[in-house]
Amino acid sequence: MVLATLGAVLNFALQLEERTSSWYATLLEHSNDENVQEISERLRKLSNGRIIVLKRLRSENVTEMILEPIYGLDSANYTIPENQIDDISNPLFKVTAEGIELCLKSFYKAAAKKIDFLSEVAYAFEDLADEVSENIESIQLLQ
Amino acid sequence: MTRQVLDIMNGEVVIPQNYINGKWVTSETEIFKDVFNPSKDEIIAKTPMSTSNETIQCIKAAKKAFERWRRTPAQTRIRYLYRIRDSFEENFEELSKILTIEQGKVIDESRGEYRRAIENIEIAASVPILQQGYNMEDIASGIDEMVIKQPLGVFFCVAPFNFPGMVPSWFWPYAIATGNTYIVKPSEQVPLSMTRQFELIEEAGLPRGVLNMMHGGAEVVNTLIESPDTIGMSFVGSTSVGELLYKKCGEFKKRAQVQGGAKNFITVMPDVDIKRTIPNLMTSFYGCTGQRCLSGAVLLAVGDVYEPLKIAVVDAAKKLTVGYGLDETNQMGPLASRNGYDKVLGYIQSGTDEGGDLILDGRDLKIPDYPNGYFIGPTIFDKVNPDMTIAREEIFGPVMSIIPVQDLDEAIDIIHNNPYGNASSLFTSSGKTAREYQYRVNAGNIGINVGIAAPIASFPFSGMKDSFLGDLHGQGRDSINFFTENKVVITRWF
Repeated sequence: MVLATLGAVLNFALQLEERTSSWYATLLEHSNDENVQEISERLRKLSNGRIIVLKRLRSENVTEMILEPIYGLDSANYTIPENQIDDISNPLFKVTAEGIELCLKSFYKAAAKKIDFLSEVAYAFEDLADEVSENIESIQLLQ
Repeated sequence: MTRQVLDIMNGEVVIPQNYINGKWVTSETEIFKDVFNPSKDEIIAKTPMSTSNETIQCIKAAKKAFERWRRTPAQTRIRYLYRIRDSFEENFEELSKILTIEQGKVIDESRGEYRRAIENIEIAASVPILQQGYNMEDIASGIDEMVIKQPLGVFFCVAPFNFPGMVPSWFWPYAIATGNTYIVKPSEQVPLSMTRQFELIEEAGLPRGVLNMMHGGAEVVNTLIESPDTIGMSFVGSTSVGELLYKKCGEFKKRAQVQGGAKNFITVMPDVDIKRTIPNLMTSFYGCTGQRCLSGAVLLAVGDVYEPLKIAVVDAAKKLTVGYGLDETNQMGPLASRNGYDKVLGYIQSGTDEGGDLILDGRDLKIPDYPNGYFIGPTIFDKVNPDMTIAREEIFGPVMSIIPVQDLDEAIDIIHNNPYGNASSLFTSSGKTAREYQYRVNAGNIGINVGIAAPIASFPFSGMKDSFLGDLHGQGRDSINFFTENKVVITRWF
């Protein structure tokens, strides 16, 4: 789907985050592995925090006079992997978690460039991309 | 809490009530005006055409409330505004959706409209500073002089159909913050946004009679103006109706601020960055389906920019997605009413009849899921003559008229030959040209590389020539002055 409006971009970002949060929540619920629980809980909370940021952007950073069309952003380029794993030693855990966060990072970085006419939104997306980058680093450090 | 408006979400036809003296009151009228969802051509509400008798009762309540309200400290008055503001924030998405359903604009535009409405409440909450007067000691030996900015009584507004969620907020927050009482008369075409706002306002617990709402038409407006107990009117709408009401306000000794129609010229210089300019032109001409009083209407292409600009504009306009505003992917909604739709079609026909070169025709647009909606796609006329009807009159729809001009002087001559003066924008990379433009062009709101020159709440929403009658505008400091009288006090103590 072409994301040509600010609302469509934010809506898609919310969908990505809701699926991310939901993936970590499911992991938290079904895993008995303490390490998995710890990291799932932390990453789920961070995702929920980003959902709050996105909703705030949607209501507080709409400047009607420069609601310009957005070109060159398509949701089809950003797909979240959703394998369900409850064992941190399963290599798929790291692959999936990293894949989710990489997808988010890639989207936020691309969207920030496309919404440069609303600098507050662009800055916020850059910050979100930075946060997700830190998540990726922490996932990569997992043994 | 009354939640009558939310019934439209369940497909029910709502009959909004009036809000008088802190109570919801069913109108005694037997006359109603149908309200349509413009994307579907379905009736969603019936606006009561309230009577003169009901309006008089409303004015009496507001007048009675004034005596106590004006004695309420400003700091206390604004706490109600904080609560209303918070309530609007909490219900932001719901308010935006209601606006889209009844008015047609896309959801991002509705959000933008509510953002500005909330901004106005925030700025009005600055009255403990903005309403301060001034003084001077020893204006003569042992004599001091001061100015007190006092509230006056009952004010009212007559709101338009294009920004039903925002325009009343140019006025009522400032009016009640400064100690006046107020009556909002929403557009009978789009009564639900304001009614929902009042459902939320009710929760703020304002004293009875401070803020009221009367649904209706000419009978309500005439009664408000003719009443000896009202002080002033704020109007936003067409110039023809505005002129009538302005004269009537003069006859009945009312203060008045009348924001009328517009025909906004957008000038593009040859030194422009076309790629950066095009998105802004799209929102200027086609945002809110061209139904803003700040919308671009005529594109003045200066010199060599004409050909490449025309190609880029047509290409971008073709790509705009049109449809139901609740679908986030759509960039342009329908016209707000069947009447507006027919009017725009009439203008497009007149453009072709008068020899305009219709290079993009939005009339054949079909939205499969909403075949009955009032949709017209982006439309462009090329090589328009400044004397043609489409170049002179306000179309209030998604129609761009391109006029090639030789230089800036020719562009400014065309702008000045039009009776309106609401807004005008220039796109250029030259500071010198920009200064010349803002200096010379007789329009109230000037944009430099900004296609929609919409003043934020702390600045006045200006307007000149036939686009504005009065001297003090809505929003910002102008609003404080409109809603107060400067009383001079000269004191000497023996």
